[in-house]
Amino acid sequence: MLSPLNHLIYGVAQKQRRSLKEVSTLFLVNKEKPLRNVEGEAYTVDELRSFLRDSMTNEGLKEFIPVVDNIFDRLAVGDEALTYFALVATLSLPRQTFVESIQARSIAQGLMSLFRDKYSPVLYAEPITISGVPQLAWDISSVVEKTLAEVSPLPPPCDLSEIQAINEHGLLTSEYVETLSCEALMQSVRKGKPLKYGYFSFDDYLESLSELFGGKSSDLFQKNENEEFHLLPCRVGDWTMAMTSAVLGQEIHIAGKLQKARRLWQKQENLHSTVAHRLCFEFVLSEIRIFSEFGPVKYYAYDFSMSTAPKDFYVREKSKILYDLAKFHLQLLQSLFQIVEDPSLTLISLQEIARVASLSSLNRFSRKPWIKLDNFLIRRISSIVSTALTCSDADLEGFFIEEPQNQMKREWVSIWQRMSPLRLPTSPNIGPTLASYVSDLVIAFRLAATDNLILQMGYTAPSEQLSLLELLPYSEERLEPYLEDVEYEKDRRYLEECIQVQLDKLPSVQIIHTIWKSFFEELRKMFFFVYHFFTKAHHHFSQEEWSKNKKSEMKLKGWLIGECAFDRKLVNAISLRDDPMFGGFRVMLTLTKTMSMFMRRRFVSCYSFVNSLMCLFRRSLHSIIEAKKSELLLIESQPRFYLHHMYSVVFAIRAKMMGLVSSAWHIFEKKLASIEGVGSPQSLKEAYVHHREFVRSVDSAVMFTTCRGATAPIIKMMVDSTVDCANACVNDDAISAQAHYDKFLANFHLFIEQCRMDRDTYKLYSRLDFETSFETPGVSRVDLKSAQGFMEHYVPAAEEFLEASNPFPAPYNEGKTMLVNRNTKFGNILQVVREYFKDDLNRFVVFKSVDGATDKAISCVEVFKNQTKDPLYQWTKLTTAKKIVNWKCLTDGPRDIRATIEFPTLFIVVSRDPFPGDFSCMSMQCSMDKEVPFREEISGGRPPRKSQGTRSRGSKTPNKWGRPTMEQRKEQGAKKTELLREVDRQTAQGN
Amino acid sequence: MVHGELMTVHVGQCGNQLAQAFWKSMCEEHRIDERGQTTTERDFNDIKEMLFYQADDNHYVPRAVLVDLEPRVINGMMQSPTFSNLFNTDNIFLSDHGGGAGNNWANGYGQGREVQESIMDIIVREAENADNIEGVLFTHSVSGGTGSGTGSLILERLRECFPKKVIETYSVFANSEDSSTTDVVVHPYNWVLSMQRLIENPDHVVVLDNAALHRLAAGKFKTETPTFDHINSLVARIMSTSTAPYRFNSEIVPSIRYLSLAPFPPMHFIQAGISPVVDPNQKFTRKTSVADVTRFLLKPTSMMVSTASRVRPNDCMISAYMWLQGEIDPIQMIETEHNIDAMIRRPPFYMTSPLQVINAPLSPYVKPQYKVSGLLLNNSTSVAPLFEDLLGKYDKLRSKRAFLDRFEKEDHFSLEMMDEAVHSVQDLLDEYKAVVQKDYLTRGVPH
Repeated sequence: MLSPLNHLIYGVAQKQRRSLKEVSTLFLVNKEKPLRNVEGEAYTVDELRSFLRDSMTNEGLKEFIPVVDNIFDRLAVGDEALTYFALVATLSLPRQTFVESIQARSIAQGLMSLFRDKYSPVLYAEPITISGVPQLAWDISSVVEKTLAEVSPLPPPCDLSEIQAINEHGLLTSEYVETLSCEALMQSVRKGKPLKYGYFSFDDYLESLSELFGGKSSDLFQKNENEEFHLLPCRVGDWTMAMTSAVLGQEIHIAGKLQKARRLWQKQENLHSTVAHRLCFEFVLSEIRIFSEFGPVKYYAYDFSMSTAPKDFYVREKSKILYDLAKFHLQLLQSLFQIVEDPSLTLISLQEIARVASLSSLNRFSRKPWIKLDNFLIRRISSIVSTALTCSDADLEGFFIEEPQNQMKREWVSIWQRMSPLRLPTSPNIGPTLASYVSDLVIAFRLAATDNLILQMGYTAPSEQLSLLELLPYSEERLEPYLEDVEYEKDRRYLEECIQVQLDKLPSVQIIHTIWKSFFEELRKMFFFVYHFFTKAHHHFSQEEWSKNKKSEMKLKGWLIGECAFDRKLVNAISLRDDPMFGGFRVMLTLTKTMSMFMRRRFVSCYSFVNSLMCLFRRSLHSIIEAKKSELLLIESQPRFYLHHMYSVVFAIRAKMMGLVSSAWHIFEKKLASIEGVGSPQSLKEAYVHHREFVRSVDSAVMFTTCRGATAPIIKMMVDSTVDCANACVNDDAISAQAHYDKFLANFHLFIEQCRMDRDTYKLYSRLDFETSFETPGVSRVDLKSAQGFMEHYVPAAEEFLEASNPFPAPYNEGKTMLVNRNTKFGNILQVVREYFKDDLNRFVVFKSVDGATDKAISCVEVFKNQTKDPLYQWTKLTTAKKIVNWKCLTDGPRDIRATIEFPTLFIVVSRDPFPGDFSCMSMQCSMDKEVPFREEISGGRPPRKSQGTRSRGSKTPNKWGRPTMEQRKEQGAKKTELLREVDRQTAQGN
Repeated sequence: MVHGELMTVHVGQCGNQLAQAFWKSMCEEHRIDERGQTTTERDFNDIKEMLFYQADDNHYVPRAVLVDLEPRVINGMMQSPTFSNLFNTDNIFLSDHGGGAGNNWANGYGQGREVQESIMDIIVREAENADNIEGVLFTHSVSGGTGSGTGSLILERLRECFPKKVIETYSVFANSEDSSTTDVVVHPYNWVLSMQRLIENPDHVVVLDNAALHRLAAGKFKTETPTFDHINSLVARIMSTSTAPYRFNSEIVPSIRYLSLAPFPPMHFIQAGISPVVDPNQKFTRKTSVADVTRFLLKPTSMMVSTASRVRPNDCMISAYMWLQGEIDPIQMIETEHNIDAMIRRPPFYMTSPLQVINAPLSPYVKPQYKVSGLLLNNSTSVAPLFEDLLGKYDKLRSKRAFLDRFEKEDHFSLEMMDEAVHSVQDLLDEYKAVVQKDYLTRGVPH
């Protein structure tokens, strides 16, 4: 880790393993946390360097300035943060240490020479550089260590020397993250910004990458929800490259810095020097391009003559690295090639592989193998697609992948995206414009080849281009030589010329747009036709007419083509299919292959269901309309009402369904009209999606698949019963009309029950159901109004009251009866009863509740039983008292009303002797009965309440909230009057 | 072949003035200019054949028959540039002597009897020219002479000729509240005599009351004295909205036969109301919503019949259709349906709500002025008080035998015809009373 830094400070020789704690605090001062002057402004690198120069001059180190400058220059090229850090560290070295160390080290490194006590820089001496980081010619390790001791803002939570970076889940541990106080590092970890200078170990990265493409399981950096990088074992097919590719992109660019590249170089020592030189040149150029992203770049002044052998140490270094890079890419591509030959790879993987591999294409030396691979991929992908286009619906479904509803959002890749690997933006050979031309072309003309639809669209094109169209099935072969012909050695300009020449030969983008547009129009026409045919055609002819004979079918089709101006092909696609459920035929469509991509079988079934349903409704409504003129209805009004009721119910259901369908259609039409970019494949996809939504809303409107698909038979039953009823009316048969009407009501109930399963549909139809509509407040309000209006005409005339009689047998039906009223005080009643019971001759009492005070009677008896110590026997009986009111009607006609109102009356016999055995029944009880479990506690006395306990703990003081007693009150009253008299006296005196 | 067609017959001065307003709006809605030529490309949903007869590729002629016994109104119409080249002159019947009927039903009926053959010839010819005629729209007034007298005769003949077709009349009744807006003194006689024919022959009668129309026009058009143009435009709007579903290919109600407004036949007198009521010449900037429109339409004062003052507590709605046009959200419509069910009173033996709320299409060429507009065709028992009043006025006149001489002096007219007519009106009023009772369906049937 952090080997450049290591190298910077300690050089190659010392490979000390530093603990993380030290390493991390080394970056306390860097570009992100700059040194600030007194005003608070940050010092820039240049300022610091000039400081350094000045100080060196002051210390007499003028000769060393070029060396130091050189070092910093190199450092600045690669790593600004390191530069800053090095500068600050240098500046904070004690001067003497600095002087000594620079003198010592620069000689040791061969950068300066000491001759006769005079220091002079060695010509052409360069500091040892690893990964673009030169070793410093002085020793700042003391500063580093000092810095460690002084400044440690984040005390590490535990002993960091043994800290584990990765925990057992493969996630970065939190402790590790905390130790990273380096801004850049933190940002990279938190926000996923790729590190510019590769502070993560690339060895692992590359190894896993090559393993990935080797088809083995790969460990890769991925990001989880907490924005942590982690390593996840996965397979190629499952790998999502969403985040990783961003990181990968950058890192591969800088692959040249890797030690692995060097290792590769070391293995191949017999490399020819001119090759190396050329590779150097190209590598440098590409490096410049890459690094220019990160800041201003200094050009190296190289001598690029091919004849001179690379003597320069630096160049050799570079070429080594360069070669490493080249080899790496080559290996990558070769291994990819082996992988993509596997026929079982899906389109997704192929495209992803292409995308990743194309990142290598930035480097020109890997261009040729990249071209080959790219070519191969194009061919593979388009062959997959072309086979797919000639296949059935089911396979094609794989192309229209919908955004999944589950939590893990995958990228939505459509058929068009997958079929154009050439769209990859990073392929420099084939620019994006050409790529899209070619891909659109390939796809469009493939479609044309399989389905002559497009070629018949009648667009006008120059004849030369038309002739090219005929060659189109061979378009790929035409493209191949063009793709392979390109020599990467030639200048890029020439390359572009070649491209242009080829382009002029190929049909222009205009044609492609026209093709897509016409395709879109065809699609729109098809949707229009299907909708209008299935929803409106049934008005004008019944299915019987369709199926009568071929001639009538021809006639009807002729009408559709002529009058309604539908397309001939679409009309001819109509066919009939036998369908017992709807008692006849169902109209289906057989479309061409391309059109059936957009109009799936399920959609067509939905449409034809709508049609059949509407035909059913039509049959029902027509039969009722016919029956309305029948003779029977002139005589009897009941059948007339039946017909009207059935008509309005069926009409309402039909109106509701058709209303929903037509409003969905209007929404769909609007959406279609608003699709932008009609001349592109994207518009087709959008049209498909909108149409699918439309079919879904139609489905829910007519309950095609909802309600378990059982709606259709129920509706058919309803319709059949209406038709039967209508026919019965026509045949003057009132009784069977009534029977059919009842059947209709039953079927309608079934329909409502079906609808109950889905709350939305239920809302639609519930108002038709008379049972529920009676529950609605509206109707009850109406009924109440009518009820009140009704009772306006009535006055009570006579009233009678029948008392309840004692229901007990002798001797309990006579004797003292205590009447318990609603307002009776128990104390009074029970006083009387106790008096009564003092006489031993009086053995029983009857309690009777009056005016509905049954509960009062029961409580009274219970209280009495509680208070009496002797055992008491109780017998309870309930009867009613009646009040009969006769209402007389004021207006003539309706009858008088007799209303009977019943009141419950409770009789309770409480006796001191047990009841005779003949009378025994379950409503008798004794007060001494102990079977009731909870009675024990009550009879045994209540457990002492806590409050009483606390009180008894020993407060002899009386309850301070208690009311004053009579004597106390009198006392207080006397005191008050005394006081008042005093006051009066005083005021009187005062006056 | 497949769309049913409609024919219109306009009788009398009032009927022909309504014809002007109606056909003018039809031409606007179907984009037909004054010469009968179409100006734009045909929209798929536009069924011009419903009301127009296609003479040539682009030449459309209204399927209208105009009848009058005096030439003033029709000549005025034919001289204006709007109509001079539109109508088929063969379809216009003007009587030879051109004297009119003098606000006398018997006169009109008698004259009609003489010329009925020629009139029926025209009508039958038009009907046969059409592929599949389904209905006749009839406009006239009931208080005058030609419209009521000749009109009644033509209704009878129409029913004989087309026993299975739908005949819908738009009958303008004289004002019954305030006699200042009517100048026909004998209008109760004319009314009662036409009522008998209106009860027996048409399938629906849309009752239009001059007083209510004046009131609505005065209120909404911001004029003290609304002219007949304003009023006729209101009526034309009613007629056009009620035929809009057939003319613009509605999926729900494609033909006039589907309208079940009169389940119990003698009671087919329908009140109409529109919302919002605006001057077509002024710009309308208020936004209307489904709830607004339905609420307004269900108020008794918005009906074009002056019965609001005489609403009885047990008046109920036998059957009604509410057509809503414009941008309508289906969810809003469902909610509104549920809400209005509580506002409507239905006959006690009814099991469901008598009101159907349906989305009607708009003309694809005319940009609508309002976001949501509606028409209510309401068959309710609250028309009965109107008839009772008119019957009362008739009784007053009849008891004094006032103005009867004009009627008696016509040939073939006897006072028994009037008595018969009175009986049939009485029967109708009894029916209206009976339908609100619970036992309407079972009365007279022994259990």
